[in-house]
Amino acid sequence: MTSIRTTSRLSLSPTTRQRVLLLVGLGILFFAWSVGHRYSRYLPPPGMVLTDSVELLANSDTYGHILDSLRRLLIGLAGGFLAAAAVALMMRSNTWLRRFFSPYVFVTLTIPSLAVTLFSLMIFGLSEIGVYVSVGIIIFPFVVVSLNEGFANLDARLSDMAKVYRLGWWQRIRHIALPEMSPYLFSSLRNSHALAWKILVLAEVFGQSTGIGFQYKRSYDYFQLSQLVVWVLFFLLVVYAVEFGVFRPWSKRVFRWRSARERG
Amino acid sequence: MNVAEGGVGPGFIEIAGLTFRYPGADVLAISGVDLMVQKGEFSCIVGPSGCGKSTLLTILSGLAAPEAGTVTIEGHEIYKDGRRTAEELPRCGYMFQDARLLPWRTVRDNLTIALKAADVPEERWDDTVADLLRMLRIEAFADSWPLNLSGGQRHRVAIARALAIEPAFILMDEPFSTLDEVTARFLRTELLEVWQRTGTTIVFVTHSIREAVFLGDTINLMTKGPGMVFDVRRIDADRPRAYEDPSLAEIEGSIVGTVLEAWGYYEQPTARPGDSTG
Repeated sequence: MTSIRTTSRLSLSPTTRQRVLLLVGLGILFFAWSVGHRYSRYLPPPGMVLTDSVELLANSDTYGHILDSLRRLLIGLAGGFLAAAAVALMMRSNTWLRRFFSPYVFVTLTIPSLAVTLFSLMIFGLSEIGVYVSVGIIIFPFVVVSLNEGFANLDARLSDMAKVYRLGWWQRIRHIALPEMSPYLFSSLRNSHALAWKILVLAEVFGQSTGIGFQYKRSYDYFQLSQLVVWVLFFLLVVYAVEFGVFRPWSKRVFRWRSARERG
Repeated sequence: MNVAEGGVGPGFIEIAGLTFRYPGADVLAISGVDLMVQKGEFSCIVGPSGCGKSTLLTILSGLAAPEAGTVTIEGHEIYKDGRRTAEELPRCGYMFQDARLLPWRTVRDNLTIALKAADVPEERWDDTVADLLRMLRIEAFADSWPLNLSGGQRHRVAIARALAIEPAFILMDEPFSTLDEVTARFLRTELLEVWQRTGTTIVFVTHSIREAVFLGDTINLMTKGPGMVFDVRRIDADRPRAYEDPSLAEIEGSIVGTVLEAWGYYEQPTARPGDSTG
């Protein structure tokens, strides 16, 4: 990472400056919280949340709940993504299929997520399948729309090149279609990942006896606001861990050819 | 290997009465093209914009099928009376106007992907890539991303790719027209060196008469669209040629005289002959 000289009087690199700002923002939030909770009957003080967090982190059940949620998210996400990719491919392959599937995309795009969750839990009972299905259905249309956009932007010139040089179907997928589609694949994966978490906890509130969503419901039932805040914090940490631990490094690797020019 | 047989005997590529119309178009893109290319020859096709010279290459490469006409390559009848025969199209290298590399694959991978598709045995890939990159003076960029290269370097990679697959012939569609003139001159000279060393057959499409005179053994002149070949010139000037050689300028002048009439510039009272040279 090279730092760029700017006219700012503070000679900090842009990354450092961003980090400082982030810390300042967090600090203000924390300050508002520590002062604000006194004027509220419900907001737990930071100290209490901290004690609860430490307590929960020491308890091995906590990790079980987090892992349960992660597993459900992964299965629902994978299922929804695969279904969307298959439908997007079919819609691309012929006009009849495109017309056939368009209403499904439209309906799933507009239907309230809460309704989808309740429907699938009613249909599949309280088993985990209901959770997978709700997550899958909610992300499905967004992925289809994004992939369709990607297909529309495929470069016919590269396809001519592939024909002239007689690339086989697998070579075309691996060396042309996938890299060409990867901006769309990535953006839809990241967006649907964020969306999937929101649906997942909702489905867990209604139909599961483990997981982060279940913990929300439990805290609500017992009116343990501090626990609720702690589980929200855990939730944020897990989502950011996936974003920064998986998506960022992965996309950096896939798109390393792009920043080539800047790196010179 | 580099045999320019002087137009005797059956041609390496023989085209007769080739006619093509784009789907849904009223007018023909090319109309009754006859063309003969000898093995190892550097054959140029020159014509005004829209005469269908690029279309000709898309047919020869198998990207499009003609409406009528016959194409024979290396003794195999590829198209007969506008129909694709069961004969396999001999392997062809192709250079587009742009380098058309895969930006997400390194220079080396761009070549090996083509090598693999052409069924060149894997144990030969390393040597082939190394030889070609050295020949085209880009060996230092084997593991670079195409976006890190200059326009001229990317075109060199495209030339290497066209040669790598051990093609029966190479088709080039105005490959240097997007480059600056100095880079284009370097590349023309290097292309000739590589051509002479490998003895490959090249069909080179350009709108520039000067470029064709500098590069070609033969120049096929096409009419305005829908184009057909109306004149074939043999360029007997010794190689290596110099781009500014007065004798080449003389040949160019005589060709310009011919095409001005054929391309209809004399019908326009404002046109000055000097403006129309490529």
